[in-house]
Amino acid sequence: MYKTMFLSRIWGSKEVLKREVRRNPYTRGELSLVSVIRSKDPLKTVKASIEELGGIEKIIEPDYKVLVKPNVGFSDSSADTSPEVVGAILSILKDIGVKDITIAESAVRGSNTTYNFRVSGIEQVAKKFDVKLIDLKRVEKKVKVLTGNRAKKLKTITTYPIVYESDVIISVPRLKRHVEAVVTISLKNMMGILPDMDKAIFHLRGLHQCIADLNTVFKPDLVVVDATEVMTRRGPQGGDLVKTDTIIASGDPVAADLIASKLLFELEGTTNPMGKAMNVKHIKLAEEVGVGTADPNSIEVIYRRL
Amino acid sequence: MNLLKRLSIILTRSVLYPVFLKLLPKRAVVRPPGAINEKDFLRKCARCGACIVACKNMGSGVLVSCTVHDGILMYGTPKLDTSRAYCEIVLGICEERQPCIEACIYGVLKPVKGVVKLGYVEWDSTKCIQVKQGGCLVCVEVCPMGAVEVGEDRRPKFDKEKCIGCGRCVYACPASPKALRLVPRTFLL
Repeated sequence: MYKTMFLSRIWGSKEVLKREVRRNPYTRGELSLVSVIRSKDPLKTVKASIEELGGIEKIIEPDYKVLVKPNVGFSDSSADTSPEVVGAILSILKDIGVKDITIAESAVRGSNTTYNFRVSGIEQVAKKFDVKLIDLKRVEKKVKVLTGNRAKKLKTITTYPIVYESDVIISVPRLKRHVEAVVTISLKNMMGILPDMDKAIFHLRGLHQCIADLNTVFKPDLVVVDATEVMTRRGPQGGDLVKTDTIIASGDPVAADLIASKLLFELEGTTNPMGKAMNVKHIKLAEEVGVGTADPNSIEVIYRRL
Repeated sequence: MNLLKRLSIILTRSVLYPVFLKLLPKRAVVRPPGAINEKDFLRKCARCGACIVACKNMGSGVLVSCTVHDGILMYGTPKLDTSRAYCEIVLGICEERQPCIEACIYGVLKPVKGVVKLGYVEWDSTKCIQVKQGGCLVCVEVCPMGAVEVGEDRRPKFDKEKCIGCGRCVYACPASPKALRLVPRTFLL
């Protein structure tokens, strides 16, 4: 009885909405750009990485609604996106005059998002830049959105109105290892816009395919991977931390994930890091459903050290 | 009359109550943090429900009152229901202030310090999604204590010593019925 009431509350509305996914603007000819910048100062690094791609003005205009989606899934600051990187992105957005900025997250099942914001330091950053900070788990209203026509397992995705109404999604994941999904970067980070009930369905139906299907409709327009401290060997919490001071940015989430996971496997000392990165199932499946490109020959990587 | 009343109270407390405690069936439930031993708990707890209301308003809402199915004597006492939430006393909002313990005026829930062990988790391999079809391991993902490890056969292994019984993995388990169950550490009567 309780369960059916709960289900009807989530799936009660019959209205199914549509969302248009924009094409990746950061390309050179046919190649999608990925920038890998190394420097001690996070603010400089993030600025340089976005400028190398072609500037943030390509995707954002001042009157847009911008959603910044960090990874604040755990109540452990070593497993969350560092506040400096989030702060750097917010300051870049404020510089070009964006007014409507939201930071939103729905943490892992069995973790309190409000507490995580406080522990990881995101709350202080949000206060400093005066942006909206939203714990999605406390939002009652939900909407159903149709997935892309190439999605295989999921037809609709249940999410929150704030996420659906945003014009631009900026994903700020942290480069980490994951028990089941092998790596957790920008594609897996988008699972943080779902209610608790739907996360369980992802695991029941097959995680890798569902992550790929989710990204056909909620594809991040800009990915800034926080690889300042990389979590290797174990994850998503309690792994070995390696300091690299790297920021990886791209407009193509699949390409960014491929290059980032290559870096992760290099740090672990794997013999063929690129081959292992290409074998990560959800990256491969995301390419199949048309989210981005996972072919090293159609990606141009810009390495720089400041 | 007064004497009769007094006698009956003495009789109930000394003879009938211990007999009922022994004879009536009880289900082992997990008590809120800081609970005293079960025998005194049942005797002292007034079944006022203050801790349950406090948990609902200020905490995560994990506490519910026991039903008659848990035992007639248990009726009204607080227990952890991990199907609706999890206990936030470790790495959660209740770390600094414990609303349930503050709400108790009968001395049933005593103030706690450091790591609180509420119970431990039992795993049923026949219901586990990871064993049946693979692709889950949510329990490993969410454990804040690192008490769940993945073996070489890609199955979760639960460390009873490290487990504190917060119930995060039980709440997060996507299987239906749940493959995990929270069990109290001591339930002596």
